[in-house]
Amino acid sequence: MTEKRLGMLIDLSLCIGCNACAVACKQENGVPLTKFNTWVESWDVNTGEQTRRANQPKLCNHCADAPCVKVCPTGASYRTEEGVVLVDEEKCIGCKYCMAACPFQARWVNDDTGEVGKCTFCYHRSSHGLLPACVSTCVTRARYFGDLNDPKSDIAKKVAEVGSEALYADLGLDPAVLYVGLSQVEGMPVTSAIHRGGNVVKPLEG
Amino acid sequence: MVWDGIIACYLFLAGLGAGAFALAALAGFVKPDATKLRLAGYVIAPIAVAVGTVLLMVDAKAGLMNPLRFFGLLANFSSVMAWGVVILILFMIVSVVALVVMLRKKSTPKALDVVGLVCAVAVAIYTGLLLGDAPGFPLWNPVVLPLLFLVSAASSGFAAVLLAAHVGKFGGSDGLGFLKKTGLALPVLEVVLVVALLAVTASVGGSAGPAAAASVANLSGPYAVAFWLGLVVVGLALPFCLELVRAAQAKKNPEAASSGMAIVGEACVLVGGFLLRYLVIMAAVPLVLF
Amino acid sequence: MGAFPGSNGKSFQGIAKRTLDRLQTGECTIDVVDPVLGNGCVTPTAKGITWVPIKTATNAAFALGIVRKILEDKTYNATFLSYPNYQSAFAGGFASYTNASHLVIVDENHPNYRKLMRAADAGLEEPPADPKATTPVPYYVVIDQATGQPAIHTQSDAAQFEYEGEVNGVKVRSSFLFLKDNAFEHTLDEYAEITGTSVATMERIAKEFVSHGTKASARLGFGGSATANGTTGVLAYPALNGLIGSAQMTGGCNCYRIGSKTTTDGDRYKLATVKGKPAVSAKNATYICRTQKLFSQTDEYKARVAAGEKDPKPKLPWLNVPSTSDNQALVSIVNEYPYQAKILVSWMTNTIQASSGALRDSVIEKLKDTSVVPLHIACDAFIGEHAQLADYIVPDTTPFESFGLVTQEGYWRGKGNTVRWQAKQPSTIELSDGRFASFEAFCVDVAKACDMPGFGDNAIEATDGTSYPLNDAADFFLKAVANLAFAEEPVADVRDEDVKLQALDELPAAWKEAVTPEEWPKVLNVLSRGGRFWPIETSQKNGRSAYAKEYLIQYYSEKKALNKNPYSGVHPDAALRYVPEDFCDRTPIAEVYSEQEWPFRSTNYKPRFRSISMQANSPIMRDLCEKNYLELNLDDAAELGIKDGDTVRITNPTGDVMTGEAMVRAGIARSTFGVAYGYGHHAYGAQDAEIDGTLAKGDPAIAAGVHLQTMLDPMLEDGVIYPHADSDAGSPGRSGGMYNIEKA
Repeated sequence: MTEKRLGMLIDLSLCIGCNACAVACKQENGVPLTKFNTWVESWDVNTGEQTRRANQPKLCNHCADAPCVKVCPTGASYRTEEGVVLVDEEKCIGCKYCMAACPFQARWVNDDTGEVGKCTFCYHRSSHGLLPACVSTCVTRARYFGDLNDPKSDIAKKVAEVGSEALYADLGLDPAVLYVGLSQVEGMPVTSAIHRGGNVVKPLEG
Repeated sequence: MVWDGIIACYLFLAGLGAGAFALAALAGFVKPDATKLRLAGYVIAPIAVAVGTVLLMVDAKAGLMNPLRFFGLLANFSSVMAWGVVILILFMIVSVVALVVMLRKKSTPKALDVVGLVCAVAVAIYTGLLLGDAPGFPLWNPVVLPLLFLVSAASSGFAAVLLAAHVGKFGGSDGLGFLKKTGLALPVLEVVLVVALLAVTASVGGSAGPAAAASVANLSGPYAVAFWLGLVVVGLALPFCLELVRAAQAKKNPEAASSGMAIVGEACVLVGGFLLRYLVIMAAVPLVLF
Repeated sequence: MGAFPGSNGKSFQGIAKRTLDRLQTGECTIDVVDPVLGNGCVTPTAKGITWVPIKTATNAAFALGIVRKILEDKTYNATFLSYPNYQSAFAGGFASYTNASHLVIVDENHPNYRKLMRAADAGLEEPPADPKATTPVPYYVVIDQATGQPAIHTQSDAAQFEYEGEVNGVKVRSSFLFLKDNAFEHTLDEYAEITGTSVATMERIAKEFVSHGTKASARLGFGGSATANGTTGVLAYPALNGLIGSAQMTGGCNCYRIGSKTTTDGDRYKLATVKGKPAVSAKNATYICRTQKLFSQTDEYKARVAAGEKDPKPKLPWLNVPSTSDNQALVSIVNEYPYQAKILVSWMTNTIQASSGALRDSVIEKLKDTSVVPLHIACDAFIGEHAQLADYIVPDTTPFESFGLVTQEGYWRGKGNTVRWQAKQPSTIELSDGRFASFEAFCVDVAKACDMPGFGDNAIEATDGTSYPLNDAADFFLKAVANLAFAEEPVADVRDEDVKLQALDELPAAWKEAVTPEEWPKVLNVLSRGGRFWPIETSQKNGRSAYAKEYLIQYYSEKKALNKNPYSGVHPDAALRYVPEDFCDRTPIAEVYSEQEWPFRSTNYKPRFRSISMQANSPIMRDLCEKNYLELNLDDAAELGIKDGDTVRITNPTGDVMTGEAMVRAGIARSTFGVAYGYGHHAYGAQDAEIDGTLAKGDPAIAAGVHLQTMLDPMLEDGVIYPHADSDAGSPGRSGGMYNIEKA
């Protein structure tokens, strides 16, 4: 009997970069200002035939082999049975080692309390069978969520149908967040600055 | 940036303290009567490491505001930081004991110094292992960085003690032949390891490739002055040259060894030691690039 | 064109969802013609959608390129174009008709020159008048295909649409020929050059457009009209849809905004009837915004001519369009023409931020001047740039604290109304009687103080004759919901589970008291669902929208043709034509200012992370996007030596200077710069404000970004402040214009 593994699949052909997910998450989880559990990066691409605009949602990948869990000295970072990586704020001393360990830079530190926060897959909802805020609010249904190990779940069926790719797969972290069309989009030349939301995070070179 | 100047200070002070202890211990093996010098080392070691540790606790804001949480630090031993806590505690115990013993008896038992030396090496190396265990920053190579930190700790620690000796005008350093060798060898070794770190980083491929390349590029970009002028010239080349000049002077006239030049040299080493840790922390680019 | 699916448009969410759904099934293809590539449905791996970059203010040229290709290939639906009236078209399976076959008098000496020929002009006998008709029915003239003879348009089933000749001795031409002339005015290569697109693209779209019967649609969104030649561009989409007959057809340019009677005289309450309403009509009134009248129809004109003036010119343009205009009202008030606004009352409006070209000192100084506007009352939830200048501010509620019943916008072909109801108690001041300050409460109290009928006690009449009071928003809107709940067939009562889940038993008592006990459970059902929507299957019938009404596509607009410009005497084109932007006297702007000196045009698009005038005060939205950028094409930037992130300076011929950060990207057309609206606030929280003696400090973060300043029209008399606008309709020239860009 395989264990339940909660995961997310993001279809990059459907993300329109509206950022509703980023805002819904903030409101659902009370994320402090300037910090985001999930965000969307947008940039122009050259598909070879046309100019189009890529939008890529990012969040904590809830890796099976999570470096952030490994390096946390107090055990405040831990992984639940369903594979959700969480932070027990009562144990967190704010050393930020986990933030240095995360290749996705998905964690943030609360400027007031010093504690580290991150996406929780809305565990307070998903542990009761509800969808995370970002998934349920997605305007174009670009995000799927559910048990990756249950062949009958929507997400498992979609993965079986169209395949999936993960960010930084060569790092061997076994993330639970998967994408459809990732290598296609990553292979396209970038023809504008990269925005996070509407702020430039990487200017266009040359 | 996950960490900043405070952590760089900790890394510098911890390494410095470990190196200071090492000098005191090693001097005890070859010239036990250099008591003032050795005492300087035994004093600097626990103070530097203690101050550094306090800085660590200040940076860990959640722990600072809820100090009882620090007691949870020994929970997860797959974390190098948990090991680091153990190592720091052990080192503090041994170095304070050594200090007390030195103050009372003007000498220390060899076994204590050996144990302390092992702890000092651990203190110097573990921070490199800690950074190396964090896959978020490709610059922090888990093999080269610990070695580099070890060499830098020795270099900074020795320089701190020698600086105290020259400023406080108590001798003993001249009788330590190995210091003349380390004064030349350590900067060279450090240069080799810095080059190795950059070379290894530049050759990183896969997903971490762009961040690795950007980290190296940082050193000729925004951090160029700190790296080239600060670390390479002031921190490594200048002390090396000054050591050469002093060695040549000493050959001609053993008595007239310039202490002014020595002080400058030692100060430069300290500047370089700090800048090395600072650059390792600040110039590192995360894998996601932004 | 002009509404980027998934990026803007109403509602962008609904459009985005359905666009991508349809694209995924392969059931449709979409060409998005827009100067700027927005976040939206043109994702890298979506199939069947293309972004076509186009130079701002050239939509008409693009459409005409497509029209020309269709005319060349004769791939238009000739049968459809031949229908001279709605009944024949409907019988032929369509849901609209055109006046392609209606004849236009082209004899310059004829008294009805430029008008569509009427029965009288042709010497034809009109059918007997319908005694029930309130307005006279016009009878146009066509050449019947079967007989080859002139006929009244309602008495022919198929008419010629390329006729040139004489009828009753009068030189006439079919309306369609005017489109044809204009389409052939330029070659496809020239259209490609003008628009910055390609012949291949226009030909491809033309071929695709005519290959699906009536299941293709050209839609021109609102943004496409916001240039100084915007109204000519808007004519493009009915013109194109008319070539295939897709208006109001299933799968074509289907009907939308179909709702039920809610805030009018409905099935339960007569919300539009006011007993004892004064017998005042606005029929001959002159709107301050100078619309709905030609200058030659004004009293001023008649008086000046009577005084002996030959060919008098008005201080500001008069615009013979059937709507009113916010931005033109502002311009009138500032210039005190055609008359002074002694009392200005505004509601939920920020004319200064939203009227491009108006956020300038000269306008603000006028509004502050009590000799120009003696009394200014603004009702608003926020102190924006406009309310900032008022003498009194009446607090208003926000959308979460108010009611509204609206229909669906451009993505839904069904019938229904959404209901917005107070999701939270208002944060405005609580009045002594327990109501909260709002626009509705303000109107009621002012009306009661003036003893006006229709407010206070016995204000609203139910269909059973009972009278109800109107003292607050809930008194009115809950009754509108009742109208909706009972329309056609009453909805079911609300289920207990829904009441529990949504806490519908915790609503304010005033809401329940606004309707009858019989109505309340059904009103709750509608509130619970956020509206009422009829089954989608009932929305289509026999290949058409079930809600299709008589719909005419005008290839020749007589009204437009007669809108003689009061300054130059030039008549606008009655048919779709590419007309470059001009000033109020129809002088092309490129003849007044050199395109070499001012080579860029703007495209001013709806922002993603705030709205045009609101939400700059939201910290979350500002975190997502702190400012806007001046977006430049890669090649244009290279030519100007501008790199991504450089500070650039943009100037216009009036002397306005805008500075901002450049965003160099492929996603913007050449010779165009893009700038999102809604940034560069002066007020709305950016300013310090003293309220009841306490200083509320302004937040400079709210002011971040660039506000696009369009130029002033230089062709009017000295001292007149007139931001560049459409010469025919007066809509703001928000995009287009002329600018120079350089590295700062």
